[in-house]
Amino acid sequence: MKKKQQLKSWLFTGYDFWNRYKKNRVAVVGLMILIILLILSLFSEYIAPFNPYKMELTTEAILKPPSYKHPVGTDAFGRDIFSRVIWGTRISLTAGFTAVIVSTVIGVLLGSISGYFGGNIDSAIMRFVDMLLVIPRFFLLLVIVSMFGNSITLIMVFIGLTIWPSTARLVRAEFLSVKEQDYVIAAKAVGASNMHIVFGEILPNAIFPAIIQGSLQVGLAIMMEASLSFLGLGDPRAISWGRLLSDALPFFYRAWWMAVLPGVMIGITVLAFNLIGDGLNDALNPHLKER
Amino acid sequence: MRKKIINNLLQAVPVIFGVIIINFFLIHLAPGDPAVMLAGEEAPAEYLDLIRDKMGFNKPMHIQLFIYLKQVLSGDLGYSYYSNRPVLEIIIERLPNTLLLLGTAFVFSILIGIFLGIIASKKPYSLTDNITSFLSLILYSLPTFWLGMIFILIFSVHLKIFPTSGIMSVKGGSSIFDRLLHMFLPSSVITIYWLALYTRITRGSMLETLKKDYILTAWAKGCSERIVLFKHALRNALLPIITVIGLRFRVLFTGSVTLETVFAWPGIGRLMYDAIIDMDYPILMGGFIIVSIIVVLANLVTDIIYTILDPRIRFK
Repeated sequence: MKKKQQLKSWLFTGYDFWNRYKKNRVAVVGLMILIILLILSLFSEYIAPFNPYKMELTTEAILKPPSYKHPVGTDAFGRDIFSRVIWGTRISLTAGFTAVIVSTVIGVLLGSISGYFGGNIDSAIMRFVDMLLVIPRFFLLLVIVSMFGNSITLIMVFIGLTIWPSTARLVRAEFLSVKEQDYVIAAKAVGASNMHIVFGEILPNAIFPAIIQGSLQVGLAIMMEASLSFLGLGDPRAISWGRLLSDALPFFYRAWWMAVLPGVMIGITVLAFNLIGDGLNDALNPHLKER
Repeated sequence: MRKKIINNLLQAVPVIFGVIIINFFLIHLAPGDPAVMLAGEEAPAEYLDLIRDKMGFNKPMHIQLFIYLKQVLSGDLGYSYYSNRPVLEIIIERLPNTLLLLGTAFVFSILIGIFLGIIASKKPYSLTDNITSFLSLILYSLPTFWLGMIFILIFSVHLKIFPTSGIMSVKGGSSIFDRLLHMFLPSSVITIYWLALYTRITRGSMLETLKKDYILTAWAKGCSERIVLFKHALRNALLPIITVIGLRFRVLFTGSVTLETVFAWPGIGRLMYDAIIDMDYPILMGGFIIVSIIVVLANLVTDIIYTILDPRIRFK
């Protein structure tokens, strides 16, 4: 009986959330784009008309403009660009999500510690965060990736390691206000452990800014991966949109079709995540809207 | 106010030290021999020994850190192993080109962005506002280097108005007009990207300010629209805009690496790209340090401007 009630309340919360989210029409468009992108990346094998790695090194096949057979043309190795872009969706989205998971975990953990305990721990963590927020992280990323290698997994982790400070700062700020609430004081009074107070009482009420920030950061991480791949620092085995643009760079004067679609895809994806972030902001922070 | 400025200065120093320390740890954490990392794969054994001796690689860690800090602070960033010249010299040679490009874009994007933001905020949710907001949202999501490629295709390859790349023509490249022609495309790409952000921020900040009571007072006492928008609203709306401008300095340089690569612009970004291709670590690390210092200094300047502009801080 109790379980059923719990389920009902969850469903209601979800329904309520969706109702508020869908008020932001553009955010719903963002969500739809994301769903399409997810389908593209999950079923690349079936959607892509050609094998993205298959080369055809004949003069008839290389650097061909868009045609009926190859809707976006072929590249310098006779590979179908449309198929490569679809396969690129998988790597680019994975890179974005993984980097953000890494960044959110670190950011939430350090932000919670900093906000809950305060004092010297807080100022130490925040000084470090402030420093990382000022220095040009992309240059740091260039140095790290060129030194420590460029497998796609490493790149995702490295991107996550450079973008967490803003999350940490947001979570800390939320913690500072939530920890003064009555229910937290009550939990303290009945002798709950620090672990329980942080993860059971405060965090569920302080996590929203981190979620909104996370959705904005997916776009950022995808852009960073694309920039790294574009500069030749990407994983040489992985097809990502940035890599496709990097392939296009030497030829784009005479083969413009190589450059157009990958860039458009990056733009659409980043846009989608920005819109979703806006929508989440409206849905999760209703009081902001009313002000 | 003086206290606040001194405080800002004191906060900038640890950041620069932090950057140097991060670099130091990267040298030691990276796989392989740190001496080889600083000297290059093909360095002769004598040179490796010289580097080891100079950096004190056989001494305890904290002494090594001290030696490294002393070296960097005295301007010794090592030697590029591609061109065998001091890293600092190479970077300083390239820096003006980047600053010229970024500086131009910086000024234009702020001026046009604030102007567009005010127009958009004048009638919120009107057609002009919606078009501006929509365009700035899209432009802000596009990769700058891709926009650069598309601009080259349209304006250089097809319309043949602007040169495709570089900073000057091979023949008669010294004229100012030629420079401007080369600068136009890359700086417009950065301007457009930044413009999008400033338009959004200005719009938001203006809308917030226009709701305030003193704006209503200004309208009520019969001020003209120009006076209300520019004198009463913009002045107060500027503060958040300046904060965002300050926070965005480091991102400015981010775009410069990819964009200078596309336009073959001989600035620090292109230098970083070449260093990646040559695996020239001293240049990469030197570039990171120098750009960080510039960003920290730029932030410092923004903080000081902020202090001067905000009377609430000034008269404390």
